[in-house]
Amino acid sequence: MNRVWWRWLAAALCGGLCLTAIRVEPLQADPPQPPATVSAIEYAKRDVARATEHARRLGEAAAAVAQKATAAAAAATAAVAEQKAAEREIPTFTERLQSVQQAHASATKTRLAIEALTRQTTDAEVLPKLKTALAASLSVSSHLAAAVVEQQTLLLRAQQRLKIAGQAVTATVAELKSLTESKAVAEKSFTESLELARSAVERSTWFDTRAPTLDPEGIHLLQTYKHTSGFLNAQVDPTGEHVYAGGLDGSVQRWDLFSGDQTGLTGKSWVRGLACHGKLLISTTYTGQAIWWDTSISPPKQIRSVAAHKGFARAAAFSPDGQYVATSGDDHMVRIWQAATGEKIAELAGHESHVYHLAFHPGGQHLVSGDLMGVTRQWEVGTWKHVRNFDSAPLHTYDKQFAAHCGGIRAIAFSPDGKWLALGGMGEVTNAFAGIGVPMVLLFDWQTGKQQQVMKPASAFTGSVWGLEFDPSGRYLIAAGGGGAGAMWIWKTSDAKAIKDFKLPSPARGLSLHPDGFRVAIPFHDKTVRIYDLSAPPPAIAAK
Amino acid sequence: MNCHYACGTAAHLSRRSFLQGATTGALGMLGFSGMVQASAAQKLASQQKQVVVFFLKGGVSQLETWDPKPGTDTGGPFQKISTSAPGVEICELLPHTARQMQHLALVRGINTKENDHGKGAYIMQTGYRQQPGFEYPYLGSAFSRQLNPPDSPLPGYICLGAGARAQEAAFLGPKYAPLALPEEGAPQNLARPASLTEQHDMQRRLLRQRIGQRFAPGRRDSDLEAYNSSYEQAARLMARSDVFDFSKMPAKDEERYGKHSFARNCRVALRLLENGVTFIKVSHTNYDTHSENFNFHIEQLGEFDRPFATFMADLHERGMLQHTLVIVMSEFGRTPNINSKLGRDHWGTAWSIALGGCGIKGGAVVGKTNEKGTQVIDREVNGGHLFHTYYHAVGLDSSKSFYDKGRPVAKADPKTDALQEILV
Repeated sequence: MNRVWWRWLAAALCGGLCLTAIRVEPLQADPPQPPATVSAIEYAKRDVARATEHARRLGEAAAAVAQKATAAAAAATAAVAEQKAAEREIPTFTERLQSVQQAHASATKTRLAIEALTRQTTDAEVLPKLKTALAASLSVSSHLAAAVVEQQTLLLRAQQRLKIAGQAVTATVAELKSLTESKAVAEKSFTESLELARSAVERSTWFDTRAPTLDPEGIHLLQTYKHTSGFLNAQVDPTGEHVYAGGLDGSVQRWDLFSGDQTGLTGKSWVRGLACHGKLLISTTYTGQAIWWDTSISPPKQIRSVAAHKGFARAAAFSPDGQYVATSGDDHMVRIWQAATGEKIAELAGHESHVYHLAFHPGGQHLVSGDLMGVTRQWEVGTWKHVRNFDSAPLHTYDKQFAAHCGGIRAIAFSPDGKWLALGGMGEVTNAFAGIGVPMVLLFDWQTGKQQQVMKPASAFTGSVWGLEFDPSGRYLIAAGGGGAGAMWIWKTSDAKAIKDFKLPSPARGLSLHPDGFRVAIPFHDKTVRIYDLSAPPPAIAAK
Repeated sequence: MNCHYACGTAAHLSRRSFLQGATTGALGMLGFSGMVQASAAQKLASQQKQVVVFFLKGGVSQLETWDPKPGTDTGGPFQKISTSAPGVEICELLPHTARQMQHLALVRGINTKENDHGKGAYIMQTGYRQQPGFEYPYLGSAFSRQLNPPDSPLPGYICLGAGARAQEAAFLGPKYAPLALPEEGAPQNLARPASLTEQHDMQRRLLRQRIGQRFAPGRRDSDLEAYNSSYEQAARLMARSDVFDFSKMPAKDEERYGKHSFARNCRVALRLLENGVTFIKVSHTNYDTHSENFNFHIEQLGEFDRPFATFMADLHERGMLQHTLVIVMSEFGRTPNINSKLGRDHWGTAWSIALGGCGIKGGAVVGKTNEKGTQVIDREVNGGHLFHTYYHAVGLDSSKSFYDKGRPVAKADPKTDALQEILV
């Protein structure tokens, strides 16, 4: 095992050195991008450290299991040998017993014959001799009887030994089997961790070589995390260490982005709203609950659950300073809570339909919320007064054929500088009940409130935007969603048409940008959360 | 020529009804209609069996209504709630209906083996699977034929909302076809044109009648009778235009029922029942939720629940449930499986309806599906069983037949029988 470990380390080191020698060509004709964020490079280095440490731990664990398995194999071999030895004793003791039993029977027969002669004989001369012979016969018979008992005892002991040996074989073989399986699992985990570490080294080395940039043509899959039911949302925590995903089984699943370790936070109802800040995670459920989780401990612990809304609680968001939590729901309300205490401090009425999403402006002074009817309202933080509405009607359709309202504000994002507001959903609906419409993002100038772009995929696609983020530069919008199929789209804020339609393997239900600015976590209907890298891939991956 | 439709023992009845209708129409024109109709309505209200079908078009989800399965991977996000019927739980999307469950029975074991909209609707409204070259009459036409008093001035079968077709009467004849009321309420052109005086109108009608009577002998057939019947029905409708003046409905009811189209149709249905209409179908559209089933069921059932429950409460309060059968049906249910659009697809394999009022044990449940709702595991039934049950509930013999050109047509599929478990 140790040899494997050192072999990997040597290969990784060699690979890193080799990569540094590769000359990198510009990947696209985009205008010059700002220098790569330091954080992305630092995150990559941290990933290497964490992934390497994780692989080391798994390597040690695998070695320990292998050692136990070896010991178990020896024990099993010894047990089998003992069983065979015990088995060999049985015929010997059985034979001896039979021999003694036959002798005893013969002696008994002789004794009985002498006794009969003694009774029949009247000859005074013969009689004493017969008595002497009888006494001798009795003595022999008695000794032989004792010998029979002794041999029976010995045979019993041999049988007992065989039984114990058999039990030992069963136990040690079971132990060996279990440890062999554990060893296989541990080795698989170790191999996977090596792959993770190798990938992290490769990525970090690549970033050292060339400042990371968002490369729509280089989007590649990093990780796939599998669960037993579909997801409705995902959120990467601010430290970039974990991704949380809310699912149709009512749970929130957490994956460690370095190790892939999965932890389930149990719940009873579908989870759509997820928000992280500091050591807090808020999840909102379809039974109207908003649940506070303390993520500073592992596994995260539920510390509070409040009845936030009547009907679905659709969304949650932290204010940038972490002081407030805002939630919204099917009761047409937006509610504001003290993040630290869970105390309700404001109720924002005004929406006339289900409030699907909400987000705080990065400046911390305003909150926006969007509803099913395509109404987006801006509220002032502190006074909680309604400020203005954004014209997001294109994201709502009343389907006359089915007599139903369709669409709504499914995703909200602000550019990091607060200059842009983006609203995502589905427009141009032609069949509400079949979900036939166009994924759409409306881009607004925050200052003027005017709509700047109506953004759509580059090619024909039906479905809705479910998740939306700006990249750290604020020049790109990244969205994920789907209908019958899934896709991720990238727009420049200057253009209505997407510069990239990236096919996803299943309808996506959200999108969360990693703090490194290049990775995105996407929750899927197909019971997975996948991590994609939006930066130009290292040459080895690009070659694939 | 013999009359070949809607006959059997009722050939002379059809003739009688024809004449009585004409007489009533003439009386109406002469100004006696108010007195006649008021007394008839009172009589009808106390004796006549009436039926209201709520048809939830597109296929409402049984899991979001009558047979919830929360906590399973097919159950969706909604919880189940207790109801006014002990031990009966339904989906939380129907909180108002839950308070009326003492009046409603549930049939949870329907398997129509049909996932096509048209064919499913046909089974549920005729009791039979579609057959090439033959049309069974719809429930509304059949009950109009059997329950509507011959002297009734009003159509026996009225449809509110989308979904009425003249062909529903099939061989029973156009007289029993549904009258579809438009969105705004009254049948179109109900008022006499201003340019025509009442006297001239009456003269025209009498002239048409005389000509018709001279023409008719030896020529009776369905087309001719339908032609004459349509004038008579129009005359009767014009005479009872007050029934269709829905502006007179109590304004306070709008608060209780709601202001949308379906709520208004529930109020109209109540008013029509009070005026003696035999069979009313109220359609509510739409539930064909292949995408975002849960959001759309919140929306659609949110519209359905309160007016329907208020309608049931009002029927009960007025003592009308004793003679009014209420049925809530769809063409099929929706798949337990939640598809990739968070939708549910067509599902005729294991689904439910609700019915109550006349002849029905309120709070009863018959049939059962398995844990995930994928299969009927107890008392599987189809459209035939349901038709026998409807007939029994209103006191009709479902073992009898109609006759189409002398050929017997069983009123309900003889291979099935009524659900005695939910009948009084």
